[in-house]
Amino acid sequence: MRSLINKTLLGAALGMASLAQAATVEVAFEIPRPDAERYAKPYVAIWAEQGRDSEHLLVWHLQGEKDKWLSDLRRWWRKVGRYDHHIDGLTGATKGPGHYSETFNVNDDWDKFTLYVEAARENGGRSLVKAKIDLNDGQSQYRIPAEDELGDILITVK
Amino acid sequence: MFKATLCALGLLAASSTMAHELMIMPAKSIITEAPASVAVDISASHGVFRFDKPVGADNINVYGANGKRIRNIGTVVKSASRTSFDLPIDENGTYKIVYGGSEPMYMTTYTIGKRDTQKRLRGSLAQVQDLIPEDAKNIETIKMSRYGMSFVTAKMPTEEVINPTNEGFEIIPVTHPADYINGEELEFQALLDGEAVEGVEITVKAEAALYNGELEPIKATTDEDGMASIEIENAGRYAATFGYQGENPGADADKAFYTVFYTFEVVYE
Repeated sequence: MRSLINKTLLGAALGMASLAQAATVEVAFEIPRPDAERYAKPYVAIWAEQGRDSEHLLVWHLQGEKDKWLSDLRRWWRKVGRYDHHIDGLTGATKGPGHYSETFNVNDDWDKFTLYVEAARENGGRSLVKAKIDLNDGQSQYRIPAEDELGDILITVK
Repeated sequence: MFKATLCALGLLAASSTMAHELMIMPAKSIITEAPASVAVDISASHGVFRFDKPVGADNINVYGANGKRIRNIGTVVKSASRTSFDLPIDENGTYKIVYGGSEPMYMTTYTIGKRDTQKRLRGSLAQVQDLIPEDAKNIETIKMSRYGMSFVTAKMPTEEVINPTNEGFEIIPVTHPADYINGEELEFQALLDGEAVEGVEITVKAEAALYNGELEPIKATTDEDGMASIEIENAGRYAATFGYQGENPGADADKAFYTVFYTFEVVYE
């Protein structure tokens, strides 16, 4: 009898946990305007990882059939790009300097994951930044300080 | 004492013929997507990542993503210091470029005269028997199997060219060559006819050493499972040498030396 109650409680707890896990995150970021002689709009990718699994969220790259440079988004390429996990709806053309904000639904089963943002620019630099996000700890905003190819990033969990 | 001397002689003979490191240098090891072509240079060199001597075009074999040998590898040019071709990559997946290894090389050594002068002949004892004087001492035949390898991956990595064939001496990149990242461990396994080999000596040299003077190689030895792992701190090109003296050289040799030269790229992250 006692064990039955325990199981019931456990089941209820699990049910609650999965309810809390539908994660919507807003990523506000900036593409800086570097002082570059031959400026090209950077490639940008955003994705989430949990252990060995990854979920693609966004990639901005040169549109066209022959895009030889996608693998320059090094980590994104290794975790996502080369496996065709990404679908057309989540890709777009490269964008110039400015502030952007994108909202994503991250894998429903993940309550802890790492959100990555990577940017690579032709004749320029590359930046790879990340934030560890835990949906259970009550924190709703995560800040990532600026790097060469990415301005300040503010991640808001909704 | 006698045995130790023999061993030293053997090593001496082996090392002088192996002074050149075999370098297979693809211009890129990670390609976004096929079709593409990759310039490949092969050179037997005294120093890493320098061109020194060309290799024979006949001993180059390339295996495609499906694991099968590719017939058309483009026009192979043998010039003064290197052998080159532009490898067509027609399919996505991992390609393996191999030079050498099909036939072992034999070397027979002996000493002669009051001063025990060392002499060397190319060939197994059976092949050079007639050339050895009657009063020769310490006759010994060494069998040497050596080959160079390198990998190129277009789009997603595949395993067909990574899986062991279980024939001869093989170095299996357990960590896939498309996953070599600075700061992460790279794992290898050494196999001899499919059996794990302990005690394979691994020496890894960085191309960057040409410019930063840090010539000290990274060293490792395989364990009882034939496994070894190294951590590469900086991205760049590297040349690894895997060397092993076999315990059962076979009927036609007294010693067997196996060497694999493996050039690879570590990408930054």
